[in-house]
Amino acid sequence: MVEITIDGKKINVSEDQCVLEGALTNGIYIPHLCHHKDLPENGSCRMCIVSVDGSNEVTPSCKLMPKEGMVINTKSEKIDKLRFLALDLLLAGHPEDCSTCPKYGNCELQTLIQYMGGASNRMRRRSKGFKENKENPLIEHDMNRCVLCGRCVRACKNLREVNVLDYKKEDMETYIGTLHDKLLKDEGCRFCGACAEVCPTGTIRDKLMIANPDKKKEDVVLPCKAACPVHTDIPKYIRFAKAGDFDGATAVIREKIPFPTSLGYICTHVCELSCKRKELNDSMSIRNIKRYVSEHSTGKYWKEGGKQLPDTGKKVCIVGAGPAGMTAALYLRKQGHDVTVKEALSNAGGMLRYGIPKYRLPREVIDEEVKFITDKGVKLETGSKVEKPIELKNDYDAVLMAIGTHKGVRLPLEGNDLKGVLINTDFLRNVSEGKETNMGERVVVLGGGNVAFDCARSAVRLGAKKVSLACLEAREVMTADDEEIKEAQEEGIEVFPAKTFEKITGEGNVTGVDFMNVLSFEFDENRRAIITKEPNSEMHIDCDTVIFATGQRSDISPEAGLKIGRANSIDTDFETLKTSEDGIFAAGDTIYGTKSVIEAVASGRKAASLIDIYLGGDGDITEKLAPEEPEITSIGHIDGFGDLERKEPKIKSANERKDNFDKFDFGLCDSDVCGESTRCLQCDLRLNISSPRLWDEYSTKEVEV
Amino acid sequence: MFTENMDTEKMLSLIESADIYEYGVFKESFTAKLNEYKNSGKAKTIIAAIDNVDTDEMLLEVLYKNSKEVICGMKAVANILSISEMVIYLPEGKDDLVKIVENAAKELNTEILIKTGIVDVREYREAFITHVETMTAVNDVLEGKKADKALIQIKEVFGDDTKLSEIKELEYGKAISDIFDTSKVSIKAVEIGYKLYDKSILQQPVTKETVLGTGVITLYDKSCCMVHISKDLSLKMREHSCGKCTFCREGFIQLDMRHGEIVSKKGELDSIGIMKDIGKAMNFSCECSVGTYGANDIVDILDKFENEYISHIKKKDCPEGVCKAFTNIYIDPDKCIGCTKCIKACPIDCIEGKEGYIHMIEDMDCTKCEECIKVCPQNAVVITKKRTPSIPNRLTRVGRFKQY
Repeated sequence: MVEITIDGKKINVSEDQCVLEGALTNGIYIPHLCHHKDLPENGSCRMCIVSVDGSNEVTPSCKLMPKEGMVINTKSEKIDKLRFLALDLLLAGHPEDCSTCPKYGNCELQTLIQYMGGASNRMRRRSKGFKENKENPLIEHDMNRCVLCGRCVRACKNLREVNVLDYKKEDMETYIGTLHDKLLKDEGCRFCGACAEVCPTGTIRDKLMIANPDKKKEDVVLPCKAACPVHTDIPKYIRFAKAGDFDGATAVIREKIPFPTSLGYICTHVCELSCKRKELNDSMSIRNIKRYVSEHSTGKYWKEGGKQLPDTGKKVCIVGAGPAGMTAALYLRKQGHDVTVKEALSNAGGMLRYGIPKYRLPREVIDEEVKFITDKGVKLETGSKVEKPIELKNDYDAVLMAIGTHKGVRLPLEGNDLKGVLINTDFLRNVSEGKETNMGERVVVLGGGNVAFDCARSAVRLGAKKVSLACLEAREVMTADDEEIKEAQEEGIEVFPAKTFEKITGEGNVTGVDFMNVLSFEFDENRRAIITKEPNSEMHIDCDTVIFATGQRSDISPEAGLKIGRANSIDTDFETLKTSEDGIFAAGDTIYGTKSVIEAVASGRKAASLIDIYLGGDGDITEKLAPEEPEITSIGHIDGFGDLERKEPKIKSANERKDNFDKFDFGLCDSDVCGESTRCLQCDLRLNISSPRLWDEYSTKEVEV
Repeated sequence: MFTENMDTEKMLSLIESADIYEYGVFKESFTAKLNEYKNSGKAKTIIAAIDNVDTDEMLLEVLYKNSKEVICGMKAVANILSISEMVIYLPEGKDDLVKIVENAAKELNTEILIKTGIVDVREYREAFITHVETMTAVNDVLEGKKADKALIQIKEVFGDDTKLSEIKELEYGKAISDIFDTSKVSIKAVEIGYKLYDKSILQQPVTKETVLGTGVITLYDKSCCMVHISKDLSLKMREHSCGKCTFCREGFIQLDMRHGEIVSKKGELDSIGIMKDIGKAMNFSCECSVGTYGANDIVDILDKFENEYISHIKKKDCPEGVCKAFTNIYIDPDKCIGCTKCIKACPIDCIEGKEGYIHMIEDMDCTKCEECIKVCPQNAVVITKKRTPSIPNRLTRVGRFKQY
């Protein structure tokens, strides 16, 4: 450190950084534009000029290294004049009207002009006449707004070492372009967004940021993490996966999720739906990477590591050993509480075990993940149905109701009580437990969600000769995952979207179902379905079995002593997760209806935190399991990066899989996991780039011209 | 060639005792520069090139003739500074020279990276950047020869024409007039190393400290319009600038645009002051010689020939009659025979008329390219600084026009 004086103020600065950076870190603002903390100096804009030791000469402070005792002036008549000249020259080729710019209000150049008190009009202005380039995915260019500070080039070249952007010159106008004037994708751009991040004007723009002005920057920059209900640090674990550190990757996931392998098999992966990579070709195969790393982890970092607070002496009872309940149990245990989980069924896992068929999720995966939780000290009592939760308050300081939705809905439909009509939840539970299902040979499943497909595909595996599935929703809006629908069809299941269920035919036994075509299907303001049928579109399917897969409710009645809400849910405040009874909380499907396992995990985490607070804790259930990552700035150039194809899992053919409940999806193979991980844009790295330093953040502002 | 095995101390002392100066625009003691880099130890690359600002490219002669000497000089400096990477920058489009340098490097069994364009001083912030001519001087010194000469060429500019002399060696201590006969020219100004002088400079001795720049000494004849010269210089540098520094890029654009206005009769008086401000600031606001030196001559012209600017702007007159915007062009109705030759020759179709009728030039569109003058068999096309006399304003048969 050396002591220097800037405008009469003594400050201590590092000898390794320029005077400008030293001043900025010490709260002294010197106007600047091409300088950026994370990039090598360009020395081109000359806004940061100062004079040294009373000399009349000026020098850019970004290129001036501090020496002990240096006396620096940032203002003088000469400096002001030259600085104005620099600004005037910068603006000579820049559009005058800010208000039409997409960066209006977020523009560093605009704030600089404000600091300078506006620009003069003495330069000859010109329009550069470039065409806006919106052909690239994620990033758009408008070179008319460029002031050639060169930050993007340095970000691409020096910071990221991708080497796609460079200065170009045509018809006597300099501009920033790709090396061969091709599209970003064809130049090997990694779409890391560093160029858009450092651009101080509206020249290089992030399309998503422009389209989502009201969203939080972090959520727009990193949509996978934002979309994940528990906000798993996805790019981070993908980086570990790429490096072959599957323990590190799993530890990152385990920081948020106690069921990484299960979710690796069956997560609804909303992360993939928002993945920015899909703008280039296909989204990242995030779920399969999760599955691979988790299945290949030795347990290092997370099995023994992690947080365990000393015992508090407080007792918590959790009703229901599904993903919500078990998640809450684990984190409450880690907060030091004595946790007992009471499960009505004979095994833990909830819908993981009794809803999702085992061809999709092998049972040993659930066993292992439940065992990790009980190994941490959570007491599990199976076959223990709680009829009166209120009475639990006598023995426990807090109760969490995580009872899920285990009661299927039988639609009010003619013939709904005929012999041969089955209910999704019962059917799937019987299948899981290997019990008699009373299914016949020809099956019609009513419903279009993942559960309906679980029923239909289980029916195929049980030996049904013909399985059909019909639902109200049109194909594009069916809630089941696309791969479920595709695989079901491969297995011979006929899918009939956009059908009304008119009646189940038969006397005593089911003989079939009558349908009509749906012309339109929407909800009115009271959330009631308004259906318009196509006249004369009657259709009949012969069958001996009908399975209702049209929704599930909680198996609870008012006698339990808790206020019941809409659709037989436990009435719960979504913010506090409190039920009508003090000390009794609720989480998971039972409060919001059937969603997904990852939503249940999120709800369980939230419940753990709130109950911990209720019991006197700080509610902080976060933990650090993964090793520190070294700071990453360079990602390098990869030829054809934008065209790297999504690696698909190895899947057994329909013929091999449709007569058994064995695992059929083997996930990514060893040779593909690294390649798939390489496809990640690593959007998170952009958030590590230093923010611009604007003059209005500096207390020493004196200049009001 | 100097002995490869000479130790660096010996080399250094030979160079020190010869007290060489850098060639080109950055005149400084080469010994001092070498010692500075030796002490800092930061340089990892040695780059030899002509100055970035140099568009004359006369000094490439050094490489055409003495590539090996340049490379040997570079090797010596590289040895002294413990540098392994050697780069030679050549202007774009010199494929023949690339081959020559490549072959020389091969013969000397030396690895040289050849790059084209101007030296990227940002990429090579720490590099030891030197002039190719300096490298031959280093080689000469190490070979026991004297480094006491510079290459010189004379460029005479009259109006629109230029004439280049042969390239000669000038021994330090002698004057330019000692080796070139400059007495025949009526000189308005002399440009050496991007500075303007009066002709007496030609008689003064040139020393190793003299900034010779590109080595081309430009003599501006009395017939030159200095505003027009300055306009050409601005445009040339606008094209040459790499565009990375604001002052160089935007500065030359402003100089070019303002000069463009002045020579097309649209000049404004405040341009003189603004151009001086910009040009002077460029000198210390840019990262390489294009910006630092490229506008010096323009600033000198603005200072020394301000009266010519004022003539153009206020009196709407180009005193030397060079700037065509200040002239009038017309077809003398008494001479025109209506042959249509000028109509066919006009590249922008601004001559009206038909066979047997007096032709008329639409002077709003005319660029004064003078193609019509060249083809007219009657010498009927007149270009003049005087006012246009009365001429037909509609189609008139040859011989029917009467002046009023």
